[in-house]
Amino acid sequence: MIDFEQDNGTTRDELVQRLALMEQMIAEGRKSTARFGWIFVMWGIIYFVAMGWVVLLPFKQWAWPVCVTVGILAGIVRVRRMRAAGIGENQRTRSIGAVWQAMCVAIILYVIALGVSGHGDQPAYYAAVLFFVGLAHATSAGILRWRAQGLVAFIWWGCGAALFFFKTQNEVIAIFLAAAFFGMILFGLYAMWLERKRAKALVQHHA
Amino acid sequence: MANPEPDFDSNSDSKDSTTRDDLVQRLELMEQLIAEGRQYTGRNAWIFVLWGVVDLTAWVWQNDSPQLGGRWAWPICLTAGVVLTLVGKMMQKSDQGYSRNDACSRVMGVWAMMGLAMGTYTASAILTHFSWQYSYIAGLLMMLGMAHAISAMLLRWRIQGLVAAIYWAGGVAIFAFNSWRATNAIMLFEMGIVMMLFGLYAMWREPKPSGLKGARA
Repeated sequence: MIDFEQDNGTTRDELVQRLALMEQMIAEGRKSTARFGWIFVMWGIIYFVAMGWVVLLPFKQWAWPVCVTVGILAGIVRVRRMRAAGIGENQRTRSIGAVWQAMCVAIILYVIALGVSGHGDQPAYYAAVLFFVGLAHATSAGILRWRAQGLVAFIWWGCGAALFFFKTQNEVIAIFLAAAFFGMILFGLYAMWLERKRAKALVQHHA
Repeated sequence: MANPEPDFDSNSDSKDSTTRDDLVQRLELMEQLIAEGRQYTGRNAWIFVLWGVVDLTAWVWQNDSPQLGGRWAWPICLTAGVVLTLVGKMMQKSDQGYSRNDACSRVMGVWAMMGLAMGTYTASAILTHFSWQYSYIAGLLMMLGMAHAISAMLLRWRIQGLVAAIYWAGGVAIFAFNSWRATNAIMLFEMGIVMMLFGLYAMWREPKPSGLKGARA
């Protein structure tokens, strides 16, 4: 933070105000992530459905494009509705938004380029995607100082590293689904639970 | 600064309590935070230059002098890079005259996490001998692009956004060209030249602490 010695123009009151503002922004950033907890759950389920389709159903080559497109469209519609309902934004929530936007662009470019060039069977491909998601979680956890999300980042990175060591199809599917379950669905449910708890507390406070 | 998160809804009570002066103060604070964040990046830009040199050295060693333990080029150079970065950061810590605010912490967090992710990714690939795959090399560039993009959005810094786009384009180009020659050239350009040029630019552009007025593109 600011050093008194080097920033003589900054009074104690100003520092306290800045600290209060930052603490409030962190709280609002976490609240915002919790409010969007459904996205994690949705994408976790989409991964399971796509994997299930690949393993059990015909037209396997369409599984991921169809499921991912449905996920993106559902996400856009729901987020627009939430924004129309008037969800406030601050610098911290915009930072979190930037993290996830950058991750989406990176994954989309990477997956499309890789799919078109026919390198989709390389272990490094699956690992890279898991590392991108882990990096987004880790950055968000760092910004929000949220240990639970930091743990989720380590789960993604751990599973990404494991993909270099376990290479059979069944092992890859098991690792990917474990990452999706613990890193997406469980974390999303936890975030939704936090949001519900907060909303309940707010109602009780007003009552 | 009484209400740090003003609500502009017409039916909100907070609208009345937020004066124009409060908003101007907040705006100035945000601009200052962003400017200090950029200054922080500039102050640490030597790390980009260092890693550009490390990558170039490893590349030249592996390609031009394979008989001198070429397969150890990357592990040795990467380890040396990590050690030099840590030593440099420790020496910098004792340096006075710069403040570190919230925006700086966030930018630092982005690069720290990127370093951790990249370290784990690279170590796993080298240990399992998968570091030759196109998807591995493209993944490195995409990860670097992601970190630059996040930092660019946090600091509203267009030049860094351009750097992110160059890294992402490099990642896509590896798949598009689909050859070792092209991959080597792209790696050399991105990991060496772009990294060093951005580092030198950020070092040159770094404003003095007293000269901070606000963030401008």
